Amino acid sequence: MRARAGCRIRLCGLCLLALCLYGIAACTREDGLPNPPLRTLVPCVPDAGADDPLACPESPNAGDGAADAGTD
Amino acid sequence: MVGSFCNKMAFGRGAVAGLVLAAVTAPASATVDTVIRGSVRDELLVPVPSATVGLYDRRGRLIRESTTLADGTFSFFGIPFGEYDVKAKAEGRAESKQRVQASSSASTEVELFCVANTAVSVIVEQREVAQPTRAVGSVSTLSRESLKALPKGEDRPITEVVTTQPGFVQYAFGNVYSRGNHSNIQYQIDGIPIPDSVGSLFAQALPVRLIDSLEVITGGMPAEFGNRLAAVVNVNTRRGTNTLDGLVQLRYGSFQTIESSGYLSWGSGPFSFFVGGSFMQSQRMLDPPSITPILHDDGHNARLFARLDYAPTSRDRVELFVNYAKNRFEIPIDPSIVPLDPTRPDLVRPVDSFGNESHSYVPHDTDATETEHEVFVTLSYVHSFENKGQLQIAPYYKMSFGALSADPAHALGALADPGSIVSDVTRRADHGGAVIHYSVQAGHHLIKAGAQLNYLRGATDYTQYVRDDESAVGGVGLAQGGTDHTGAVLGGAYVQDRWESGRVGIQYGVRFDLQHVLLADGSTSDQYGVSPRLGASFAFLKDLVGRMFVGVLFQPPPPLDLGNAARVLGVIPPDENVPYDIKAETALYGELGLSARVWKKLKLSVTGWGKYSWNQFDNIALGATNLIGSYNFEHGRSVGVELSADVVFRDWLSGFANATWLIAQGQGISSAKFLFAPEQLAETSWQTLDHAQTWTANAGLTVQHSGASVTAMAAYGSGLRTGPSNDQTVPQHLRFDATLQYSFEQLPLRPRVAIDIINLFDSHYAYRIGNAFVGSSYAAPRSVFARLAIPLDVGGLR
Repeated sequence: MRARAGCRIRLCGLCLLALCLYGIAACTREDGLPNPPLRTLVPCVPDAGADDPLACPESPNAGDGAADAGTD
Repeated sequence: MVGSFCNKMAFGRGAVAGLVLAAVTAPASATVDTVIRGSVRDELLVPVPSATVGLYDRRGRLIRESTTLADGTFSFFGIPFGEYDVKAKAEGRAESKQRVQASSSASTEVELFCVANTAVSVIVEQREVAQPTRAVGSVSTLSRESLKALPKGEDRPITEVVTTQPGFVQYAFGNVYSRGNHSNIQYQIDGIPIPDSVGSLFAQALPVRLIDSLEVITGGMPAEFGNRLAAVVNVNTRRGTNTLDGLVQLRYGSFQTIESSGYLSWGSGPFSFFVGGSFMQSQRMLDPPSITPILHDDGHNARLFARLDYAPTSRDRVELFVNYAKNRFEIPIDPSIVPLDPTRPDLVRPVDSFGNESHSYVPHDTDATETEHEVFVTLSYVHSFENKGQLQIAPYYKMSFGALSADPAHALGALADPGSIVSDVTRRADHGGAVIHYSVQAGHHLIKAGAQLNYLRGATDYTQYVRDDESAVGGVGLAQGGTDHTGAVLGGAYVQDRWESGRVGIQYGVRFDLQHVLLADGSTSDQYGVSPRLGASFAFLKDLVGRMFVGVLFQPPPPLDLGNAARVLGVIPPDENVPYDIKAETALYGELGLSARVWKKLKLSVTGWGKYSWNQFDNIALGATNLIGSYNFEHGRSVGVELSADVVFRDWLSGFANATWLIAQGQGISSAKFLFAPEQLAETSWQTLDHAQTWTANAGLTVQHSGASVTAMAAYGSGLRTGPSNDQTVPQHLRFDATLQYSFEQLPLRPRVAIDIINLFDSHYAYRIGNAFVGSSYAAPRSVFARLAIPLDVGGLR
């Protein structure tokens, strides 16, 4: 009987502890500026090769965009 | 492992964010039993016959008992590797005791001295480092005590445990690389090899708390090991005893991580059991593409395991082992990427400082998830033929399931890049098989023979969604999919002998492996290989052992990886079968080692190894996930040197340190060419593999006294490869972890508390910094966890 009672006490204690910890877990998330830093957009490179990540996208306005980029 | 992928399909330019790792392979096959032999002598070095020698586990329970022969010798055969106490008693003489660490790869020698009670003697027991092993390969054994002393204790994933050993590199998502190999690590439990899983799930699914002792073999594998040979992680699980034993634990800490876990074991008569499990949830489940903030990375996992033993006689034992694991992850989103501006088509995303192209933008309301289930069941029967031979027969079944949900409605939304593509992928692999081992001790020989058979049935359902670029708000424009089926039969057989006499030990053996793959179009692919192996060890002194190994390592390919990668990338149309041209890897491998116990408290080891491969395996990681696609290099070569040191000082201090230098290269892509761009296929020079880290080092120190212990660990890495041409490395890193543990034995319930600090000095570093195809993954910043455990033993529940 004593062993069973001890077992129940332990179980109750653990359940309480679990509830407390679960409550603490409901905290806010971190925020702030990204690390690594934000990859803000940059002007494309008109002369870049097709496999260059900075190459200008193929579109009807690509030429205009490239011209703008060149003068920025 | 997980993810969704977006954007352009061209390999090397396309942006991928995730999927399901497909690595279904054949199991290795090996036993866990070993031999402890020795002699009992008196103060004049005269053999003591008829002395009683007992073999005890670390908790002082008698495992076996034997009597010395006329020459004073004794032996214990067919015992699992691990840490034991050997005690000798003889009438009229003082008892003698020695602690040994037995490896499955070599027999362990013990010398005991029972002096006469009339002789004047002072017995001083001091803790010492284990003697150098006589194994012919690179073997390290970790006891349960050393696992518990590590930061995070038994909650530490087994993958992080093995990375404390020389030759290993820790990677994102719990992956580890061994000696320049990308994956191909074999895990086995109680002599039964575990077939590979979806992703690296099983490695992480294997709870450390069920481990009694752990053996890590990184090179010089005997013939009993096959198929996956980058490394072998050999687990000897805990079993119930006549003493009730248990523990419940709660862990809470950074990233709102909360984990409850526990185990219970008991035995009565011929029956015993060991059951346990855990449930964990966190806001940082996968290593995300940014250190902070962490977007969309919540998840949970659950583990359940049970071992039931029935020993009707002293010679027969039946073991039922069941392990279940579940993972659910959100696919992390990179917060550093901004959407394209439709009004400014001239603006593009910049490359990073290494020249890596940026990933595509993933809308932040995308809810891509991955759910994984895994079940492993085995029934093992072991019969001992007195003290000479042992037979093990073990059928098994394993189911591995992974479902990626890409959430195309949001992933292809208004802010998504034009041309984005995402995929849902559901993958299931069922393995059924059996292993049989027989080992026999005959004189100076320990002969082992065995065979294995594994049948795999795999299916992958995939649906690919293409963004509707005509719509102003995006959405799904086109969806197409299908199902790929694969079947494979894998078989292997081996025979080996270890002969030991005096200072010399020779191990030789040969194994044969066969893989028969049933392809979707009705055709088959058969590959087979023979792997002869030879190793030797020589004890120049009792505390100075040299070793060498040469051998052929044949590894059949993983049958499913190829198809999954091709489908996800969309390089093969749904109505076409994926070509299956991946080949088995055959390697010539050799290593030399020297281990010396220069002081009873200090052991130093050095190992040099080299490998030359034909059809060397490599894998491509897809996106910010560990989904891989397997392919071959025509040739491969790698070489490395490892240094290690182990130290103990009295009973309160122990430590280790190791350092690894390696180079691993491949030449000429020779299979799965549809995954590569023409310029990549045209490259025929030797190129360093992206999973090769030139310098890796680890060190750890544990101080313990009266129920308290402090462990500090350091890990250094010179950085894995990055850059568009893979010719740069990510910044080097140095990370410190620490843990403080204390047992309040005097308090009610005898609680044990622990504080774990991971990345103590908040080092910000990346496991990998990828281009648009291979994702980036950053290690966790400083994290703190608290553990509270309550033991449930005889004084508690019973």
